[in-house]
Amino acid sequence: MNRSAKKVVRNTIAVLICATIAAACGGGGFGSTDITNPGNTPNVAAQTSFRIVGQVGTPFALTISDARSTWHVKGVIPLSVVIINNIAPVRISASKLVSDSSLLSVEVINGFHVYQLASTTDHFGVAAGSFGRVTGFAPPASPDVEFFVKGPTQEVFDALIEDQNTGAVVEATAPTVILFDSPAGGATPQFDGIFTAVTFLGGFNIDLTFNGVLWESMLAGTNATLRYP
Amino acid sequence: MTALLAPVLIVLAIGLVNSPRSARAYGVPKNKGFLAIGFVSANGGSTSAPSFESLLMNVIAVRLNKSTDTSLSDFAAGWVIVGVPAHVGGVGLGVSQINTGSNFGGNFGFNGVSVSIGEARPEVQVDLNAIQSLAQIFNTQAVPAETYGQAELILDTARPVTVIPVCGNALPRGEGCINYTATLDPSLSKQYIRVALVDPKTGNAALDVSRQQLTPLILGLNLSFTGVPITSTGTYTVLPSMTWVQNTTPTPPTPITNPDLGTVLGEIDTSLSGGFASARPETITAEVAGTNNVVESLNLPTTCNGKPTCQFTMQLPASGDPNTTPPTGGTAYDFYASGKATSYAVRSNVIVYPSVPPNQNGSPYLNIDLQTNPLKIVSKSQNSLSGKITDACNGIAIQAATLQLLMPDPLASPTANCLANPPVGCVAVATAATDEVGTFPLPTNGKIVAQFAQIPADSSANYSMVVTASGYDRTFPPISATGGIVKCTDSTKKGACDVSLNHGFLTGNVVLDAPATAQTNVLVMAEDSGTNNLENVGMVTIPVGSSSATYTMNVPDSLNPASSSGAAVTALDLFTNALDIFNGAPQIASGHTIAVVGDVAAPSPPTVTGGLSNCTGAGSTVSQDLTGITCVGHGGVSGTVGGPAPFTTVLLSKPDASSNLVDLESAPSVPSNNANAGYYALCAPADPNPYTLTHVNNGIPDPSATAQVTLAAPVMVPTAVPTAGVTPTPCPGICDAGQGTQCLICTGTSQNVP
Repeated sequence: MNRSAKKVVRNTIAVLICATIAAACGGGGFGSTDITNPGNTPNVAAQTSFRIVGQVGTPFALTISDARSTWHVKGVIPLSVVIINNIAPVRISASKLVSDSSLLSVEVINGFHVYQLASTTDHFGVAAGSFGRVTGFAPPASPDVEFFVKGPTQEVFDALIEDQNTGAVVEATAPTVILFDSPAGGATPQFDGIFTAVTFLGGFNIDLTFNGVLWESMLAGTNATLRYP
Repeated sequence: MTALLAPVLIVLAIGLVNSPRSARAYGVPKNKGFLAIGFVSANGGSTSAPSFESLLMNVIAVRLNKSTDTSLSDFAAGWVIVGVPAHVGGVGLGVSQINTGSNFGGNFGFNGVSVSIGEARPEVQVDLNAIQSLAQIFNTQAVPAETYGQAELILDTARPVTVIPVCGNALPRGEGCINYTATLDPSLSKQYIRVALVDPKTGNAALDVSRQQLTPLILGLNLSFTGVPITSTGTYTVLPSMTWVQNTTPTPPTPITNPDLGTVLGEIDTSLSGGFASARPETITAEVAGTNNVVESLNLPTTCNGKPTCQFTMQLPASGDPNTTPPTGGTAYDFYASGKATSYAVRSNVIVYPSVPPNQNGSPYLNIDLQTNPLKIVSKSQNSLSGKITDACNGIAIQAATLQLLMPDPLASPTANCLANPPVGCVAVATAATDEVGTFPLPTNGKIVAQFAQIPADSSANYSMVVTASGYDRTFPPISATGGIVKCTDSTKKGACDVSLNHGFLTGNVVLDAPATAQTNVLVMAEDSGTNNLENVGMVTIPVGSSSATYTMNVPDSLNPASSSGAAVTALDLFTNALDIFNGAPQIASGHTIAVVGDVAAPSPPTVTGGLSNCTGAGSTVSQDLTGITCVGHGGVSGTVGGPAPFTTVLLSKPDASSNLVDLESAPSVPSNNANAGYYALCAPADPNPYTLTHVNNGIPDPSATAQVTLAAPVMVPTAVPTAGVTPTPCPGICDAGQGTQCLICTGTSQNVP
């Protein structure tokens, strides 16, 4: 029997308290105890996430890539980005979409630590960052699964993002985009996101897009579940 | 890309939250005062100043202590920490109830404000080159009202400083124009970076934070380099230091003043019955003139409640000298007043000067424009505006579009023109942005009022609304504020405003001179011809073995009202920028030559039938290839510019085949009154053809002050000869994964600009 894996990506991004539990119950039967050795399962490697910060309201376009997928995201400052299932190396290129001197900073976060910063005040300036030794951008994400937790702004929330086999627990602050890399290995995926408010600043405003098409929206409540299909 | 033609400012917002402590000014606890911490570069006199395109300090926090003993333990009692700006709008901010309008994500921990020594936390990247002429506000926070004796700068311990040097000339040397990490000099005992805040006459602690008052703390940052890498993978070592730009001692009623800040005295009048009230909190906001970039917001103190007139004071970053004839420099701001159930009141393009040094009479310069012509508000009903922004050609939602509600200043001279780019005499009183499905405004929460949720229905305001999105025409949907209702006039629904934006298409091939040896990603940039006003950026990926890829991007059509007068811009300049990788890390400075094509006719506007745009007609798509891109390595140029002023920059441009100059990027110069006044440094590909450098003052190029420069080619350094059992690894290079048997190391070029 497989049990779901957990990753905890903590606060505005980052990661992990968790662990992949590949606990085989085989052979134990009734009477077996402590089969999963609670508290001693190994953590997965620290995960990489991003914060796009600076002059509030500055529009930007992101190209984000891990070892197997690339996403294109547009938004305005501030925005956090979390990749579920990410595999290093991870690369981000952020382009301002406004011709002024506003500040855009990219924080590349690995685990609980800011690993790298890059900033620009140029007109349509570019800030780039990476974790791991990068080459080019990977192919476009397929499927492209994105949860947009738009509001309430500043809401701290917990989310369980899971497919049939694994799950990842994320704690972040809205607005955050959660990119799900290769759910169920990318083939005929089934997945969901379960969101729970922590600071109760208002009703959720969450969109789930699948291959660029809005699949489901949730516009109320402090608990929300969005699923595909 | 162009850079830094306007001041770089970080938003400072004070008291966006309604104070629950109605008896206290600004809502700060009784035993606390506000401390506004700002940074300014003190690096202009350093020998390092001419050598770097970027000098970035990664700041986590500033700490204060009452003790004047700068060897005090980090773990001694009494340290007060001011961390990075977190959140916007004032929720979960602990005791401060103030916050910045910039956002650096906050610190980890449940409430996002926990800060401790010894671990990496979110941080602000402070570019010393960008704050040479104008202070940058780091954060503002309520702190115990005490007299402080020292300040400590806390940098990221792993990566305290990041630098991008220009190319060097000495050998051995590392590659220039790439990111280097600089570590702290070991002599920096315990990594303390502290400055005493003492009265030079008495030696006593001298930063007096008074109860309920706003006190500036401006810190000058400086970097001395004690170690320089001789390889491309080495590190610098630096010795950061701080100075204190001391405030004047206030002599009531004269407020605190500072050499890097302009003290603005203002007055706001209300005709509302009962005067100002906690139920109708009023905010004064200062923005960079002609933009929606908020610099400082101030809630009126609750001491104004019940009064028809309120005096206020703001401290704004400023440069220049008001005591010359005529005054020189100055920093331009727009101001507006906004509040619940009231109208807006605006004042545009107010030039703010530093208040120190004092004039011949010993009096500080006080900016009193807003006292001479007070802001006046009246009672108005309000409603929200929301809707969707779509592509007129296909109805697809436009993400990250920006909406600005503009209000003309009735006192503007010359007469306000909200259609101009940037607007002249018009103030952005509300801003919104679209989400991933094109709807606006973005969600807020129960404790924050979105700017577009509180628009006064003021028929005398003569609002304009401008909608902008990269690749689309600047669009001015009609807006009505009559009959107590705000709406777009072509919408029949109160508060609704759906807007579609027109555009054309630009397509063509990005062509390398030789097949790519590694995946090559190239940005295609389109800007209004002859300007640095960029309109859109697209990226193409050229796979290994290929020499070209096709790009298609939206660009504004020939009716785009984007000129400084509001007239249409009918031609575009195009250029490329390859996103190159050095040693496995992406870089901003490219090693590929920049393809440029100037004066490309903008696409024809779509034909509109029955409200639908047809974007497939003749002229709607313009084809233009961008060729001649080859990897030549990094190059760099540095030198001096004649007669540097506070906002003098050097613009790098390149002629196309028809000699049209296309603006590429710019760099600030060290301002006057520094030892290295006039120095500038730029990175650019080592193109064998010449670039043009132009002297620019306050964003205005001087066509008579130019210089031609051809950047020196990189040098080839042979890899060490293999020996028994040792095969030397070729140096990393910007052009590909390796240079075979030799390294490609860029070489600096010197060029002064008149």
